[in-house]
Amino acid sequence: MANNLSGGFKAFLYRDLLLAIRDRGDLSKPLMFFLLVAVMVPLAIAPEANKLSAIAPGLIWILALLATLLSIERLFSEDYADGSLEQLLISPNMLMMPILGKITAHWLVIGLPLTLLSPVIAIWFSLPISAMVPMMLSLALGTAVLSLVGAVGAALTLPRQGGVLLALLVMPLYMPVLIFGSATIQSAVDGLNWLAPLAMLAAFLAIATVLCPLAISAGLRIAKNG
Amino acid sequence: MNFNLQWTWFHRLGSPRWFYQKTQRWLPWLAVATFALLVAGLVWGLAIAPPDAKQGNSFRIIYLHVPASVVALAGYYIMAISGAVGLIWRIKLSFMLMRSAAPIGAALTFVALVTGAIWGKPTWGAYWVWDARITSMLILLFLYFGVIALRHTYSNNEAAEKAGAVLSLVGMVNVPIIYKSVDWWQTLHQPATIKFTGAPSMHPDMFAPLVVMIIGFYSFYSLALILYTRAEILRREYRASWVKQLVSNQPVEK
Amino acid sequence: MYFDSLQQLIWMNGHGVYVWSSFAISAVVMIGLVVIPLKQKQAAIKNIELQIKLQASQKPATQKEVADAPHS
Repeated sequence: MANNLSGGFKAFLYRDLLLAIRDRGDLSKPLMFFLLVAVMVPLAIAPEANKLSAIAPGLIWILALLATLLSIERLFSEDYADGSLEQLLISPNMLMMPILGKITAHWLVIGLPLTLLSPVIAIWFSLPISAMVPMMLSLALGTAVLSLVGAVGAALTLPRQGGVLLALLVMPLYMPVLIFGSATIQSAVDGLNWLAPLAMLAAFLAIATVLCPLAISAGLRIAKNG
Repeated sequence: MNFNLQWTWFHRLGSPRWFYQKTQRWLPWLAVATFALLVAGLVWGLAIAPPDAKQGNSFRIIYLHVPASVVALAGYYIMAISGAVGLIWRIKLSFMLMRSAAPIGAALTFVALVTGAIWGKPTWGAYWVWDARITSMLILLFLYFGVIALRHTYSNNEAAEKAGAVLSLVGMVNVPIIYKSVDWWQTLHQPATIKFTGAPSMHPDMFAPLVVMIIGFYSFYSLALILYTRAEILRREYRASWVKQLVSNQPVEK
Repeated sequence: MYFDSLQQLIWMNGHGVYVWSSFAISAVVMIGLVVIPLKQKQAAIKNIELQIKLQASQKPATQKEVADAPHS
């Protein structure tokens, strides 16, 4: 039994990582999007450093959010289409562990690279160096929450996929993360205590880790059984 | 023995037919009570109560804005809890209530937002201020839209309801988080004038009609919820014999 | 009455536009929330009546078929 508990997690973590690595295109697309839109902003708004640094905290977070949204839909769609989801649902393993494994893989492939790329964006937007670490911490924690909550939306919209509904469902749930994520960076820029909003992000991560798999497994069963 | 009787009562409570017949009797009274409360509250608030010292007469919008906000928020909980009950105990009526609660809650949230925006103009000079409370209301509206939109993803009614229930529950966890963000953010929005633990910061002459309006809005919500659910029952249970009897006994009803 | 006349009630020291437009929008929505389900109910009843008529027109036919079928 203990074997099944963690076995499901690792198995699906490796499986999804392997699938992602094999298909390099999917891996890089959201990150390319992240960088490309970041380039568009100075072109569209203004290249002045003070203007850019003023909007940087929120903008970085919106970019991260959009990049996650772009990629999360495919979390379950292939498994749904080729029948492996059905296998998963009738297997004796607890559904939570494979779900968490898949989401962790998603974060490793999307959220973590995003976090590591963010200093580039920060420099482009003249964000002060003092905000770098808080920014990366907020992104690391926050994108994990985004992956978890996004997976809930992905599970609930399986029968009819088409990005907009997923975004509509998930955006309201993303907003607290967005609020505290950008607040972390902004607090750091302003010299205030950025650990407070970061702690909220950590709290969100804790709650999401526990509750989201419940909702996701319910959604997966509904999608499969009708 | 006793346990069996309790369960029968519980499951009878979940029967659409029971709901339809019971509400048939009480609906007129509820309508009268709602109307009376709303008219009384509005006359009191709009015409009788004194205006606010700082805001003047536009303050009277509070008698629409606050009750709508309160009930819109409560309505989301009602929707989520109906969904939960339906999921856990497989009670069809509960799902029907959840389904009805969605458009009503969305409409009231819309009213709260619009009245809030109109109130903002004379008070703060702008129709829209991005403070946490107003933003939370807007997010609540999108939460409602999500539940309504999700319904159309599933062709199977049962699946649609279960999915809607799951989504409502997920949103329900988010609602207090959004609410709490009011505390965290320094906001422009007025702090809640009704604190249930302390004395309200409004003068009693202005506070009393507000209470009447809030009760009136809750009454209105119940009325609308019952009306929507009754229509839903007739729509879904059209094959049932009690429905056919009902309809054939009353040809061309109002 | 706080206001001395109907005109004052409508004008509300210049704030009347705001108060009464809020009232109007709320009224429209709330009346809608009552009228729409009533209309839905009417539509549902019409549908059920239709179903009953359809069933009634089918029944005599089947009975007739049974009566007409040759006894084996």
